[in-house]
Amino acid sequence: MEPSPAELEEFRLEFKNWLNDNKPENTAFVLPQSFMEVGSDEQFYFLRDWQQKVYEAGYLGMAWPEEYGGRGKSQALQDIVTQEMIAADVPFMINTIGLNWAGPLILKMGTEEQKKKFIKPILSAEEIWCQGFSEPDNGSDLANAQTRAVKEGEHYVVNGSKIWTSLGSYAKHMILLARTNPDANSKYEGLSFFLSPMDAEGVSTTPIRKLTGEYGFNQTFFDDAKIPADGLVGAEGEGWKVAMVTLTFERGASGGQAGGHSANASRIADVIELARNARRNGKPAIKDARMREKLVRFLTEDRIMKLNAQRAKIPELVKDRPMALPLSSKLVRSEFYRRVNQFALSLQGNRSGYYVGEEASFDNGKWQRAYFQAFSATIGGGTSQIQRNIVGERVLGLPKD
Amino acid sequence: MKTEFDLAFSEEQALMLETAEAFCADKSPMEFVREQLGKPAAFDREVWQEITDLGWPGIAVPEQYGGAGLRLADAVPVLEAMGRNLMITPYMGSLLGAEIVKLRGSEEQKNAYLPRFCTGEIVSVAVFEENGDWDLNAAEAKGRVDGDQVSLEGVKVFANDLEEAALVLVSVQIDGEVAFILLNREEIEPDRIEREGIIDETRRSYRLRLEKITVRKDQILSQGDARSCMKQIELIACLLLGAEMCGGHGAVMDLTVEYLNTRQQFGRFIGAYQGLKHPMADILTDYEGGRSLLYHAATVFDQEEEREEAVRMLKSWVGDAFIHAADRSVQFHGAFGFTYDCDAQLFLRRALWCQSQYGDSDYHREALEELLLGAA
Repeated sequence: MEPSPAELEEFRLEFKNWLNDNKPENTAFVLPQSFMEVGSDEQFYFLRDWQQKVYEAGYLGMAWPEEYGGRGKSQALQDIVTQEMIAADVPFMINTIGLNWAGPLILKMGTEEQKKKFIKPILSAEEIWCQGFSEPDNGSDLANAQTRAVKEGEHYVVNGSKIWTSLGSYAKHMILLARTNPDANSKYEGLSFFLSPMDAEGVSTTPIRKLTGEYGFNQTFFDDAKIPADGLVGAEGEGWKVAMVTLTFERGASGGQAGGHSANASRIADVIELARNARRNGKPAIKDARMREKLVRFLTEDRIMKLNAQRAKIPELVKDRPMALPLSSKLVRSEFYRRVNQFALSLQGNRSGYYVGEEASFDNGKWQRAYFQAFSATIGGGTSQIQRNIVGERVLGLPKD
Repeated sequence: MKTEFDLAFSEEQALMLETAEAFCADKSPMEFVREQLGKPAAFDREVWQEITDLGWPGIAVPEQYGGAGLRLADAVPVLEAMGRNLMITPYMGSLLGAEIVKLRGSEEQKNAYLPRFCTGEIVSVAVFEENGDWDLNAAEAKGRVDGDQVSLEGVKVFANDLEEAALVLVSVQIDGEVAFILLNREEIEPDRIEREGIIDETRRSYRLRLEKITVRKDQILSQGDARSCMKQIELIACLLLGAEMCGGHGAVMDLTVEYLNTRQQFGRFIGAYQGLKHPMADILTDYEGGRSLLYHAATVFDQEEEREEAVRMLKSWVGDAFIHAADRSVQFHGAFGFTYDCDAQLFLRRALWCQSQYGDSDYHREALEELLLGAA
């Protein structure tokens, strides 16, 4: 039964109190803003423990089935938890791929065994997940993936390599897209989708250095790696279809995620605060006419994103194009954060030239890093240019390129 | 800083949207809109009668004055649907006029006039002047009170549907504050009225010379604090315009998409080219954002502390966005877009007109700076 508005408010209060008592202390090291930025063991273990704590208190996977480790409650409760975590700006839930993409996929398409095996450790962060879609030569053209999987008895033998594997060195499992039939009628039909162990013999990872100068993601190599055949999701050859379902979870176009927030995005209130503290022409930047106009535009866009999320839940107000908001939200959000983080640099006067770790910089260089890091969202999960194709074709009905 | 914003949609609004979408699509096909362009009165009397029969003019007028007793927010879906179909009606003046009387009229005046608004009498609102200022408190026209009489002077511009109107609301300075005069149309000699050439041919707009017009003192509407009432009137107009613009943005986007899906060049539909597809995707996200702002503004319109931010965000956003969508529609129609026959120009003219009324995007952003960031 759905909780009443009074029950929801009561729950909100309960969770706020819990959060107040249990939120992590400030750390001496700078925390990453998303799972794609984790670059050190201390960051990783701190965030893993935090997710575990939230799960054990009963506030994660609240709407997932109880039999697999969820709590079998209303999604509305989980939404409150997510909202309040964002409002309190507590650290994000590190097992992002497990909670938001792999988990919902397993619940939707996985076998009973897979659900029993994988769901609970996703929630508790005991088992971290990573994603093996992109390859060095196949990014936006995902369907052209060439990593090869050949069936041998109870196993598939995998050869090839995947790239941009965030958390690859910590992960226990990977969602893997590999080619099982190179002779299929089309490139789409030759792919299969696996839940693949990272500790299998022949799987190795190498860290990649990012434009920020930091580490945090990897290239994963498969060298005659033997992975169990029962990790297959859907039938052999249906991998593209399964990958597309996964992407709808990744882009937030489908619901069913475990909950919790997956990034500590730069907040517009922090940008305003920065504008108060930065100087321009002898006065605070927030008093400067040009900066004010730009701030107002960003504040409007920030409000639009919040309102879009609310309007998306009102069927009568999305009936002309029901997929417009879900399919454009990744584009709108990621581009907004890229631009607003870039703007945050332009507020800083000559200090915008400082970088991470420089004491004289604003906020220890967090804006410089946030701007660079923002490209992970405008590129990862389908570039903004690919997103505009998707919106143009699947929302507006324009012809395929 | 506030981080949560309301957006709700009532059953009344849902019903209104459904009814209005069907009605406007039926009564205002593009051929019909084009037929009206050259006529003296752009709107069609029969259609207006049907609109009156639906009760839309009195939608936000309390029942005791003959209205439906709903909220202004309930008129938003109607104006959105009208905007979507470029429907030509005197509805905006009628709604705005009723709101002015609600705000500034005495009980007697409300009893006398509001029922007439509800029965569909045409209302013209004359608040702007030749100084070009959007500030409604900057009116220079005057009313001189002499005993029971008020003699008017000055010139008003952009008075909607004045030739056809039965009632005219004119803003004038009286004793250093802006008040309204409610004129009966027959109190205005024909030579006081001059039609203006305006960019949006679906509308009719007039210049009104006030000298030698004398009215009774009880025709002054001056209840409430003048400054805050005039601000409120600006916000009402912007909510209504915002709804119309949002509908127009959606329609011009559809028009462009249809063309991109039928026109072929180099052996393929031109919508397949990313040079056209990608800007259309951005026009869509602008539209979706505008629509969220519209129903947010409608939701909070009765909450004084939220209204102004929400409405100014709406008008500033859709002002730019609608012009951009219409501008690109002309461009993406290629040489056909350069012709009068292409409907893109009708939307571009509408977008530019709406931007010119009650403050453009920059005007509202400037006001937002103060609201959101404090004094400069």
